[in-house]
Amino acid sequence: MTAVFESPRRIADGVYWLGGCLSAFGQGEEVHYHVNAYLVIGEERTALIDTGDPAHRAVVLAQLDEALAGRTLDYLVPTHPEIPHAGNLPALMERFPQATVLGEVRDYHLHFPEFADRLRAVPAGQSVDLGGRELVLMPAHIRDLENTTWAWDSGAGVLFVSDGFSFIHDVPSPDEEADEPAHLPGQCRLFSGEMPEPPSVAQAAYGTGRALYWTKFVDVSDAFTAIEGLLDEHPTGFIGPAHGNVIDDVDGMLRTSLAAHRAVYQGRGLGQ
Amino acid sequence: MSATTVHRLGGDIDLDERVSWCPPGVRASQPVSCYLIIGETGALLVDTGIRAHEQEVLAALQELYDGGVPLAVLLTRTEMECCLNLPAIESRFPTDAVWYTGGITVPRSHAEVRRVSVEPGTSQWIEPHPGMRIELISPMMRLLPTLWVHEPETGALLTSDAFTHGDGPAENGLAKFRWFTRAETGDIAAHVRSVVAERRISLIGPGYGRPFEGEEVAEQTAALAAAIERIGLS
Repeated sequence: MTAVFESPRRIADGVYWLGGCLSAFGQGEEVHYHVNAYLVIGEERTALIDTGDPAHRAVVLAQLDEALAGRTLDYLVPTHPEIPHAGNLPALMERFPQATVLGEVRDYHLHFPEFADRLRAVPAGQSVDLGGRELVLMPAHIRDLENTTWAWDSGAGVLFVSDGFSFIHDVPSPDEEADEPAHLPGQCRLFSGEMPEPPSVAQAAYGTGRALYWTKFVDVSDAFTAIEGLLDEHPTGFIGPAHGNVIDDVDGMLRTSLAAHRAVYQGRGLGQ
Repeated sequence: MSATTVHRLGGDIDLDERVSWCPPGVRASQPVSCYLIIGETGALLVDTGIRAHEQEVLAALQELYDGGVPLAVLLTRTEMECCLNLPAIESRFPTDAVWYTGGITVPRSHAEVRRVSVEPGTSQWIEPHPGMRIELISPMMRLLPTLWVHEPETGALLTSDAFTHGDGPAENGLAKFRWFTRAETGDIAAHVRSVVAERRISLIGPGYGRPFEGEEVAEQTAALAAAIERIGLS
């Protein structure tokens, strides 16, 4: 298990891709598994969506320093309270003592009681003004934990989708079980459109079936109808998954991801 | 006469709208628990309690565990309510191993970290200490990778985020499993029934909500399975 240090990548004006990868071995070759965080910088305030994995704590803090360029972090928006998404919350709250955790904050007072007075619930549909841009909290149409949120940046049209839209670029062998998607090393900071091959349905189905157990049982067509409505109302140039490369071909990946979910549901064997 | 004992550790929380597994409109006090299995050759702590109960868990461990046998930890899930007290426990009580299930995000521990992979709907036996046989059941009733822990000498079945409804209707324990409402749940309910029917279960110990003992085991198993069927598409 290794962490890979890289500088944050600028996705669009004021939006940065942070985090790192964890390594595993599948079919005799190394594969990587993304644990992403995203920084949105407004004219007046800043927000970090997800915290990165504790294995990347030093990496994330260094990337934040670089991307913030002297600014402070005002808001921390973990998409849900799982270790890869919120595990660095204590370190970030200590590093930025004025920061507030906002969004879907259920359970955090149980996990981090020392920060209970710095939690601010912001329900889906409401927005936070960052100055010149807004961060809009969105319902998580694809999720595992119920207390999951998505978010959309109005400034650059970036949709942050937590565990949604994950995909792999290599399928580990059956004895290398992985509940998270993976990709080949060397591709850690590429947009989906920059990958040697666009993600296939099978690759997305593997990630879907592994990471989201329930999708074997549920027809998600209605969720994708809702996502299409969300995209119609919120122009989106990039999708930022927590576990996968940043998606710059939104229409193409929407089709691929829906096809993957249908394959998992209909086949139930894919990705097991 | 079994030499193995099972103990409940933890504390109570306010179950209200700030808690994700709280059913709509419910306001109550709810126990949140981890469990210590003590055998002749070792002790196994099943989950570590929530961080809000860190001091309660450490105090109870101090009282129950004398250090005379090795201690291992088993995480039923790698979710925060199961694992966040691991560093505090390790710093006070030398720990041999940490067993877990799930993906390649592993618990951060100074002990040996041992991953267990069990296909949903099946089980696997482990021996965390010589002679201590523990059955790990991967329930079909799950959201994230989950283990139910069966200790055969005492008949204890520790069910993590299932059987959490306490004195309320069984539906109250399904708030976390909203996906059931869009799924055919017959197989999931059948698995809940079979896990209990195929073993001599005398106690069901959930991660939150009160335990069920004696005649309640069969009654609450039937109630939970029926509720799973009722809210599903099947």
